[in-house]
Amino acid sequence: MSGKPPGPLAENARHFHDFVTVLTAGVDRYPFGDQDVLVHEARVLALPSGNPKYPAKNLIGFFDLLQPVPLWDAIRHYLSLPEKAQPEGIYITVNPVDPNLLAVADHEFKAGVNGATDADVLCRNYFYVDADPVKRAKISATDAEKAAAWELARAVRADLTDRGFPPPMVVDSGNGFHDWRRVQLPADEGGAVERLLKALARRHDTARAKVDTTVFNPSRLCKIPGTFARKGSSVKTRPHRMARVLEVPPC
Amino acid sequence: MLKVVPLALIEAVIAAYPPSDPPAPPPPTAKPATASPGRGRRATAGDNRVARCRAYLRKVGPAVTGQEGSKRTFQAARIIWADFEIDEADGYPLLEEFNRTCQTPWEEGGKQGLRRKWDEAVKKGGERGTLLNADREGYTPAGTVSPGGVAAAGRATPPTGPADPTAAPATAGMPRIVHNERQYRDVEYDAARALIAANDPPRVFVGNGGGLVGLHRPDPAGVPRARELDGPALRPVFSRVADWFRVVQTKSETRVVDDFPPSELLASFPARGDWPGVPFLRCVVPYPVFTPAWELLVTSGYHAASNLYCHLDGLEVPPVPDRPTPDEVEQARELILGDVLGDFQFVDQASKANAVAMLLLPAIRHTIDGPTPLAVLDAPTEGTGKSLLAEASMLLTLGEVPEAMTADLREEERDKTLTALLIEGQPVIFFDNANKKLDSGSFAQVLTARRKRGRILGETKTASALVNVCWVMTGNNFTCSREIARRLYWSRQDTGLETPSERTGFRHPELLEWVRENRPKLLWALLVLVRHWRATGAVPGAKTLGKFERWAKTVGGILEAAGIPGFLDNAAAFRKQCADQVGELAEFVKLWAAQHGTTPVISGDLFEIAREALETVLTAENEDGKRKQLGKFLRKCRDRVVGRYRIRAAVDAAGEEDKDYAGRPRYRLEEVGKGRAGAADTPPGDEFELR
Repeated sequence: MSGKPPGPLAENARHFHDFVTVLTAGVDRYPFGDQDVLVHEARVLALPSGNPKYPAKNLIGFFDLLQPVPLWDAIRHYLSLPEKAQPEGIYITVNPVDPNLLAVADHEFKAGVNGATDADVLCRNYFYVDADPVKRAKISATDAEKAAAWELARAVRADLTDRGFPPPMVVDSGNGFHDWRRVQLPADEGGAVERLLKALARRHDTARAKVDTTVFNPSRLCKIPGTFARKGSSVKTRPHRMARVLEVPPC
Repeated sequence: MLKVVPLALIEAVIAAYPPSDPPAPPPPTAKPATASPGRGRRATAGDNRVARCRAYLRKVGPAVTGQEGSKRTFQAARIIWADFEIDEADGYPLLEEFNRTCQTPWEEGGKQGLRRKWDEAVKKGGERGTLLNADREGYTPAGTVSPGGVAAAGRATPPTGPADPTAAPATAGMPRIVHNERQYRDVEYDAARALIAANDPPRVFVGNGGGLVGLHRPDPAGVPRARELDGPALRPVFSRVADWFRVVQTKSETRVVDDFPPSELLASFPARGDWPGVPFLRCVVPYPVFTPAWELLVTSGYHAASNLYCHLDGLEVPPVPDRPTPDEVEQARELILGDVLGDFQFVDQASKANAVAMLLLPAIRHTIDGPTPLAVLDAPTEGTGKSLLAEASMLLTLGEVPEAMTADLREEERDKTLTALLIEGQPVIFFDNANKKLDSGSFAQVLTARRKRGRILGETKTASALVNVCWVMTGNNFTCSREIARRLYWSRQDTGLETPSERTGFRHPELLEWVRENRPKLLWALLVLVRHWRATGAVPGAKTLGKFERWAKTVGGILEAAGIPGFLDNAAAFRKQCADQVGELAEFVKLWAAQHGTTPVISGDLFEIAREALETVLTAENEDGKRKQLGKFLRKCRDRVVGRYRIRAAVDAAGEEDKDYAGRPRYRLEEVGKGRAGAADTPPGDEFELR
């Protein structure tokens, strides 16, 4: 990117790049045809149809993150749309899925296709601890609510660091915060992640923010940094925000 | 790149913040109806037997002069010495305690003294420890309910009782449960408590399939297996843990009489779904085994930390050192590579190393938190020794050769049988003689699954079972689908002889007999190799196998530490062998594209080129059969990408499936790769650069 003037989506691209770099670093790749791939499902949620008579659509695609350009191109397309036409969010699976799913939607988003299930997930490379503010559903958080989520995320991070956990990748999901943790576990790891999230929730939940204990399943989706959280309408006190990678620990 | 969080750290956090309300047995909603001696306590046969005996004696009640007090005291001595198996050092003081509660305590010495009663009780001999485990083998003879004989008379003639069902006959020994004139929940509660109190050491478990299981031995000399305790099988279990009564009301009186455990309980108790206090049984292992925490189990019995039931049946393996010396490692290597495997003609070192991996796996299976692949023993012809190797390996670890499953079962049948075997908790599942191509999606799935859900044989319900077995399969020129090829490790033998079974000059001509005789030594050798790896830092192996990474790192590490090279070196070669069909498909598509381009065609149009290219697909004897096979094959290949093309079902202008006049579907080739945009058309400034 050096030597070129920054474009309108340069910051989005930087967050996306940082995120994909972490997701693909040091993980197993899977043979598919004559090449190795690392396929994740990406999902465009609630894309307005443009006609109020028809509901918003969900689009699903499968992308090899080792070649992230097609995914970024697709994301860029949606980010370039007028704000009213943009989807509620663009998500990606936390863990790699069966490369054969490329046959469902090969590096493109399609409507009416089925997404990956837990059975399609090959292994657990990551899970995240999601600190969410307590608020009404389907709307964006206020700054104060987000601050409460940050306090919770910080407390959880400090606790886990004290217990010997290596530093996480910290992601601002728009309305809350995700601490990404690297693991090497089978897809069905016996419920350890679920129990961990529940344990952290028991210890750290407050009246204003909670650890989301539902994000344990291996085919869980998360917002792609560089894209927007567009829940509800964007108002002054509850604006739509971009998801960002805040911290990546040094190698 | 983030650092990996070890599972142990995750578990530590979970343990640090436990749930505030741990699961507990359901509380009774009404006042408990019986006053069982063992109620509310969990009996153990170890240190608390004295306390249990003391409590028992309190229930028996004191001896009273003039009311057969001498007999009661003698019975108390028998209860202490015989039924609770307490010797004089602890037992006689107990009898003295009992004596102090008697109305007119006995003198210490003399003809009628306490000492003499103790001596006579000991002198009488007989079976001991009958009350230590109420779930003991065998039945109490009819008419003699109390093991100590305390209230035998009371049982022989059921006493008359008041209307209150809690007033069951005053028998001693086991909890007494009246099962009618009460709420079912109370009966179930009492039954559960009685079962749990008597289940030490455990004989009733929650099995792999989530149901109640007991151990049974189909072969008296064989390894116990977990058998589901359904209705009828529960009756003897409940009969051994409690005395059962029912209230009978007549016009003139209300009596409490002996009865069987009620059918309603037997039918409903297994359906309860959770049984707090009943231990989980992962597997019955008839050999010393490493637990998930790398502790070596060398004693028989249930191991609560690992949920393993070790059944050694007198097997005495020489002590396995924590840090084996180089001589011991060399000795172990020689026993495995030389004695056990020395007479087999492996085609390469990788096949030999993979055979060692197969031998090792049962001992470390429970340290691997995840699936393990299928061990395939392959040979060009029968008589080469693959089944002998499989049998020797199982004889070595299991002490017996389990029933082999036919590999060529129908999919549905295989699925049900596998579910049944997994519920039984078999350590090894053995398929013999896979002579047809193994192509089963469900089998491929179970190889990588942690749990398997399947239909139960002979029933319409399904069950989910934990997959923690070792898989072994033999076959002649074994072939399989691509998905299974990625889930196995391959060991091939070839003698180069037309009739390999006529070979002579073996180091151990009667290998199975030799393995049986030297089983302790051979197990020691396997365990030494594992301990050697642990002692040298447990360095993970360099080789890996997708979806079986933990297995590959562990087994590969052990083999590398033992200086046995070649592990998994033949994986690529085997996959290539299985991928021949893929190569044929590529050739077929190439010819198709050259002849028809992207024009829609029916399968008949492709028959000539298919006959040339798809040799392994079109295997029917006549042309009609081959044409049908081609049609099916094309349907199966729909939407598959082969090289530059994707095979598509053609559609007509209306978007419907395109068919010819006879209704035969048309197919076409579609060029792929257009969806992958490059960076070239990215506008300057906001592009995403690959680094």
